Amino acid sequence: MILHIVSRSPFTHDALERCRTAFTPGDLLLLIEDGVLALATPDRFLSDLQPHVVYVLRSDAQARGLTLPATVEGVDYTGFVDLVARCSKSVSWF
Amino acid sequence: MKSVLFINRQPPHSSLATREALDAALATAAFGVDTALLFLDDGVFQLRRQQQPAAAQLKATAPIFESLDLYGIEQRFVCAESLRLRGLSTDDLIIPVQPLDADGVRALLTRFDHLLSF
Repeated sequence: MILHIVSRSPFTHDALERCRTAFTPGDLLLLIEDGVLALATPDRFLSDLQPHVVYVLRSDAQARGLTLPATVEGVDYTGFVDLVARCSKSVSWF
Repeated sequence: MKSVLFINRQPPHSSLATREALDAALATAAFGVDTALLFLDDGVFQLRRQQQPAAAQLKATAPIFESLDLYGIEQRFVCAESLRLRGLSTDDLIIPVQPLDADGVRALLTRFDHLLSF
């Protein structure tokens, strides 16, 4: 199980799109920094992902005035560490 | 006196672009230069209401936007298509800005003497 960490805006970078093509069922997605901007239009970027797959660093979403859809789980930095520990490896997309 | 248009295309908080653009705009306006701001692409996120940057130990930029009137920067424009693509409308923004279509953006770039990108 791989944790994919996306930190760029999906509107101006292809990090999320490239990550999605490398995504295997069972993997997890964590949005941080400008990656959280995907929450502005979740129907466009995240609608096809199952529940309990997409995580968001809550403080980065709050900083940008974004709210979390029901299918997305917010984590703090402790939760971030838990996700890294839960997955056999992690990969950053930026 | 020459006129200056500041073009803001970066999202807030991940870089110093918002703050640097506003600092520079306040400075030019203070010298009596015809100054305007244009928000394009992810730059429109800078204007979004309900930002809580303190949650991520970041500095608030809203007070600077709210002081633009005081500094005489009343020309503020936003690309309507950039807003639409991001699920936003002018009602979601912290200050009044004039939406422009693509023709309006082109006209704006033509009208100003200097264009500064952030």
